Amino acid sequence: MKYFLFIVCCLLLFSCRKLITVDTPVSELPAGQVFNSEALADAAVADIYYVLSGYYTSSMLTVINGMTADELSTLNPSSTVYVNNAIQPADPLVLSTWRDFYKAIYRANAVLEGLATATNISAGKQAGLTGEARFLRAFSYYYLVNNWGDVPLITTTDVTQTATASRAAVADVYQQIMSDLQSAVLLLPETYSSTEKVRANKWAATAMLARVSLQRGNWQDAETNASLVINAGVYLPLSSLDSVFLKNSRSAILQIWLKDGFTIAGQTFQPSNAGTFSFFPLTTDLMNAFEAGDMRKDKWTGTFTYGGSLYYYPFKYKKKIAAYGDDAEYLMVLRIAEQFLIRAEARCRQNNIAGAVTDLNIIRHHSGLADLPADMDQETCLLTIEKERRTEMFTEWGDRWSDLKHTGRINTVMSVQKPGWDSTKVLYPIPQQERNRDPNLTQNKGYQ
Amino acid sequence: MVKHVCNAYGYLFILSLLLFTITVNAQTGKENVRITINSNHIPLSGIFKIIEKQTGYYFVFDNDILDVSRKVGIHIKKMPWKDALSYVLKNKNISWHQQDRRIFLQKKIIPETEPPTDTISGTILTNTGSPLPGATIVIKGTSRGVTSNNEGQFSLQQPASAVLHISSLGFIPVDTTLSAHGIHTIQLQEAVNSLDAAVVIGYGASSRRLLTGSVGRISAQQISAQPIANSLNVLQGQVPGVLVTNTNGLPGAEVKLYIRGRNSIAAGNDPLFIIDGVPFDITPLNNIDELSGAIKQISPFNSISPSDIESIDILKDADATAIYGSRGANGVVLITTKKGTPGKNKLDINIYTGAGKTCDYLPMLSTKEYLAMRREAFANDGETVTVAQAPDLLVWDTTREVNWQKMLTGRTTHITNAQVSFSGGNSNTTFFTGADFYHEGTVIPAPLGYRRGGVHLSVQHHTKDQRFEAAFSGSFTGDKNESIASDVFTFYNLPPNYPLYEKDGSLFWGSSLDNPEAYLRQQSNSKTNNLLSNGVLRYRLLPGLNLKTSMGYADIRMQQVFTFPQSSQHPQNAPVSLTRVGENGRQSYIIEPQADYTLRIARGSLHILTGGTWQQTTSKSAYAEGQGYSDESGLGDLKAADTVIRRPDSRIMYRYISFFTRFTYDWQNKYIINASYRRDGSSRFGPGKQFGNFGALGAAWIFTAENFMKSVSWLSFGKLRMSMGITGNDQIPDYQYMSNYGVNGIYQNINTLRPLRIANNKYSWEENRKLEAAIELGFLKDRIFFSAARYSNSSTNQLVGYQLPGITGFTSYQANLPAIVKNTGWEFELTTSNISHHHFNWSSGWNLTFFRNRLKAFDRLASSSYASSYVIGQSLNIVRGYHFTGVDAQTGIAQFEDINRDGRITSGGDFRTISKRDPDFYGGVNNEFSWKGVSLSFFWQFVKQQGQTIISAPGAMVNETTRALSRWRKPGDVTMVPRATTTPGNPAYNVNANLPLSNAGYEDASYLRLRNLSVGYKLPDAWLKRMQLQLCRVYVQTQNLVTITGYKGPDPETQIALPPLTIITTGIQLTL
Repeated sequence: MKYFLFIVCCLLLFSCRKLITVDTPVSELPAGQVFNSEALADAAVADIYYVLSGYYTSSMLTVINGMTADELSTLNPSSTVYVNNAIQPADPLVLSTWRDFYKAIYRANAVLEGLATATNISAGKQAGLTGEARFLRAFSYYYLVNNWGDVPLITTTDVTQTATASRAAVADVYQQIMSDLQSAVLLLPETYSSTEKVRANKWAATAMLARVSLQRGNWQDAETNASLVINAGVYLPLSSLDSVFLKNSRSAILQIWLKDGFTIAGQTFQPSNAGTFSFFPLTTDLMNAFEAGDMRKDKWTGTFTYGGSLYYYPFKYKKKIAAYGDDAEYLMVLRIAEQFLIRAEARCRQNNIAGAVTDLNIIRHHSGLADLPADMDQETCLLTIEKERRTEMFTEWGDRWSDLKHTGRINTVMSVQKPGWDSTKVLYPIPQQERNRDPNLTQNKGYQ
Repeated sequence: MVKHVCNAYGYLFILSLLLFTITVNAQTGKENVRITINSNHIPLSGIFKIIEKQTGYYFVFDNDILDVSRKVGIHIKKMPWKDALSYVLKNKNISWHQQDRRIFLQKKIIPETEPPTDTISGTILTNTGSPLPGATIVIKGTSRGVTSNNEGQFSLQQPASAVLHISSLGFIPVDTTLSAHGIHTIQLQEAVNSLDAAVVIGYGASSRRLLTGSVGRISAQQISAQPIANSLNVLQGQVPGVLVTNTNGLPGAEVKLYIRGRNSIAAGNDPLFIIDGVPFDITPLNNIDELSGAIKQISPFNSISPSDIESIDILKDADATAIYGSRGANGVVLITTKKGTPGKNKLDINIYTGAGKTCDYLPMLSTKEYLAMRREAFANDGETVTVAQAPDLLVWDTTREVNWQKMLTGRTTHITNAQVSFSGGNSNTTFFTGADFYHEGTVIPAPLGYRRGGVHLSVQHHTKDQRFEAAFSGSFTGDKNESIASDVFTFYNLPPNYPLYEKDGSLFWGSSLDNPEAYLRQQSNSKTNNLLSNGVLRYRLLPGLNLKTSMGYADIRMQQVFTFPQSSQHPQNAPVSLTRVGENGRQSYIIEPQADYTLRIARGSLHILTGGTWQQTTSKSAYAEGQGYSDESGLGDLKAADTVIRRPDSRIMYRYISFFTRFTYDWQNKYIINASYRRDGSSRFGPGKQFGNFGALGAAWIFTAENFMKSVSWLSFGKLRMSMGITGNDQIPDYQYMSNYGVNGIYQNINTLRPLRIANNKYSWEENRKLEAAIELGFLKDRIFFSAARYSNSSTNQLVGYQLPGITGFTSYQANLPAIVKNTGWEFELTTSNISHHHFNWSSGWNLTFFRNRLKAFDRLASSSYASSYVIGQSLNIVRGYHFTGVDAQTGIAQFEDINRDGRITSGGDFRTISKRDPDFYGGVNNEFSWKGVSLSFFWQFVKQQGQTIISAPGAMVNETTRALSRWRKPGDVTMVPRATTTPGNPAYNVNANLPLSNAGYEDASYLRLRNLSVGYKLPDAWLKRMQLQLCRVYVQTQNLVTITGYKGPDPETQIALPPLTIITTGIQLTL
């Protein structure tokens, strides 16, 4: 005890301030230090992928988009709100999804701010990481703008600016997305940073740019960018239907790395055991869209019986428990088949029907379907692409939901599918809690 | 300024170090040397030499005052040298005192102006007959007086027939006239629950009579009257201004305590808890979601055994709390543990055992009623009943009937408590040692329970001359809480025909609903070890000047193991067997050197206290998850898992330093003024913001001590007091000013780094300005005692986790709330001794608190993230929502007021304040009767408040309370319960979905509860003598026996959670 007192007295010889000064805790790293090391800065960028691999952004979005569109139905009475497009502003899943995208955006902004003043990082590494952060920010905004319309455009970590942000117009958000993607295309290398395809490269940014260009009606840009990816030469020939969703499959442009080699989607969609059921079966309408002989119906859907009826469930991901080795699965973000569909539509819109049909036939051929003739009219061509996209891209990041929106056909299609449909359902409600905390956030039409 | 404080602080430490050396000397020195002289002719100088030789001290004196060559005859044997010296100097008109190694001799000064006429001698004893040292004997009307010595003896020269005022803290003072003949014996009665009973205050003690601040007190006797596991429960309804609420009825659940209201909705409303001078952090250790089981947060306070507690003092106003400066804003709870008392050794044994049951159940619909409601809902919606939408109607057994509440929380639980203590001591050394054991089962039908065992030791020693004192107390408690990982109360509204099992006996999973039986198989075990220790060294440097150092060490550790067998999880989520292991600990050191000095100035006494604090707390936590077990029986062991994921260990450091001082001036127990100041520095604030100044001023006027009040015989005591001051709050998370990254998840097999927070280096100390005025009155010799206090606390710059929209990347960050929040209230207390007869006594106590919280100002509220939460002029604890106006008699659809009259019901324009979570008033009524050996006491607690309730929007696949029976069924029905509906998107369904967001979800949750009823019988003395016992008492105690409420939810106190238990126990208490 005496010894202890002695130490205390010695400490007193220093100033009082010292006595209440604490060091950075061992489990924390000052931001300055993180952006002073290539490895640490890389870990900060990897974290953005990790956020996006979360439950809400990677899978609930797929499930909810699938239900609010015409892909999924439900056997879970509490999910009927989504199937009936009766989402309340207080919906917890919508809130969490929204927040996780903004979490990713904050982290991307923090990385961009940190890298801007970084010192010990090589120019190449700095460019690559900056490109990835911009790509991921654009990726997040793409889903925000698609589901909620006008959304706050946050490009800084400064809380005094962000806490009371207002919603930016869809066009402004897209402008940010385009500029981020264009910059990412320039900054990112063509190669992947590892042997896996789990970090964005130039082609991932280009593929995303093709998709966004299509959404915005920039047909020529969409075609150009899709061609760049297709001609990159590393994603073809198309992986077989069985292997496309495996990790590092040839057709994958970008996947999300998963520690245990299985996806939440695989877990969610597959019936848990033989004889049990899945909460989110595919709609009859979608199943009817598959042409006879479409191998995707066999390979990518499964069946179960519940209450005497036959149901189909999405079966793109086969794994639902930990899998390591070659049959492990990663979550698909971007794959080459979509680029053919993007280019097909872009060509069709530019009245290059023959070119569009060529691209379509590549996908059809791969699925065991007969080639289509090149002499259809533009309208038929667009509808054919829409159907092909539906059967190819179902339950992947709500592709159907955004596709119907950009073609403007959503009201036509939905009002047939869903009695009482009204056009305000195209957008989700701005989460109530977000509006409570930011008085400048307005609500979308049709919601309280 | 910082420098000055530092210097002062440094001096204090040097002083305390000095104290340490002195005390060492005192212990090992020559204080107790005994000398033997046997001579008829020895010069005084010879005697002095003997003393000098044996003690190592030397004499200092003026040769003129004493002829040292004078020879004396002396025969002493092994007499303490001090006594010997006094003996030889007797009648020589010489006084002596020792300072360090010198012994000074001085001529006694005989006051010439007022020659003494009488010498009065006496002994002061306590009512139990033991000597009372340190009692003050003052000649009334003068400042002259003496204090009694170690044996309680005193001797005083006084003018003839003077009135002596004899007082001692904790005893009822006596005014008496004593004659010069003989040695008088004066017994002082211990002041229990009266004006002069000792009250513990910050860094000291006072009495209710002399207090300038607001302090409430609970004694060991009140604690022992209640069969409770958590000591905070004893405060429920007992002290005005203190609101205690159970969070749920599981053993070990957190008990919330607020002093004078919640200042903010953010965390950090906890008062400062101090146990024997050592701060006790009551922040739950299991602070991550993964480690929060059915009990939710586990309060470390569970690890404090109620039987160890001697008293709990609650400091409320600025005067009482400002000495704790930055940590006093939410009030201070001072807990004093049991100490030994001089006298006969005592062995106390107290054992009780009993049973508990959930006190309320919600009346739910029967299966028949439920299914009818469901069919009606589909019919109302115009939908066909499908397997997908209604497994309860089409798939499950429609004849099955389960009352889920009774099944899941209906068991009778057993409670056992045993404690034993041994205490005693002599006038120099006292000790107390105790051990206790507590066991409580749960109402949940699984082999669960709560066990606690602890030991407590306290030793005090002071030297015979009372100059040096050393005290130590320590306690160690271990508890083990076996519970389940998730709350099963939430299943109260599970459809009554939900099948638990498949036909083959395995758990049923054919629905999206979770299976409650599976929840019972997911365990959460928490073990907590809590060590508290403190030591105090005190040295009286000069008469009236004490140096003191108190040191404390606290160490609390919690280990948690949660197990989730794969078979107990919904297969839809493709689960794996899972073990979660968490270890959390907190170690804290504190050193507080202090000096206090009492001196008489004019006719009053001035007490000065000054001191410093240095505290360091280290919190450590570790968490790991084991996933995948080939055999579920291996669960609980990380080694048996396929994969183990460890989170990086965290280590959090908190440092705190302060300087404090207090001046108390008491003018003849009539006017008392008290000023305190504290300067605090805390590591929780960023550079430049670490230090804050706090202080208070209090004054009291005991007007019954005035001459003009002497004639008012019915008013025995009257005091007016007032206080004002500033306190603060540093209950905020650490490191919030640092912009740091930490490990998040794993990507590509490396740990990813995430920004941990939005750093803010601008936040600074919040200020809580407290103002209080009170009157205290005692009537008819204090048989009726009444006090009324009015307080007004205004806090600015509250430190909160400032809420943010998720678009900022986070949902909160540490900041000052740019608001002024006012807490005002009235507190009343009335204690009466209704009948005080030889055999029969009846006393009552009442207390009542009115409370109001108001947001006075908020900088740019409308554009802030609190725009929709707060309203200027209303409480911070309001609830905003729709105004439910009833059910349309034609359509059966719920209706809400369109407040902004835009023709639509929207949360933006049509929300209004629908409820508030502050109680309007609360209090308690206590009555105690005793007749010979029989005692009976009952205590009613009441709260007037609103609370969240179960609302009825019938039709969905959840069961409803019987209120749903009065739902709308056909046009023309007038009711408050809307039509049954179950289809999202249906207009009726969509509108009814607003019900939980409306005032229909809140109702009056006031209650009057017989919190405690206790009957005891003390065996008569004659029997005790025969059995050689000091005390034998048998008793029956109950908790929550009766609740009177209009509330329709599960329980008005815990609201929508497992209600507290009704407990009946019987016990026996023996003292040998």
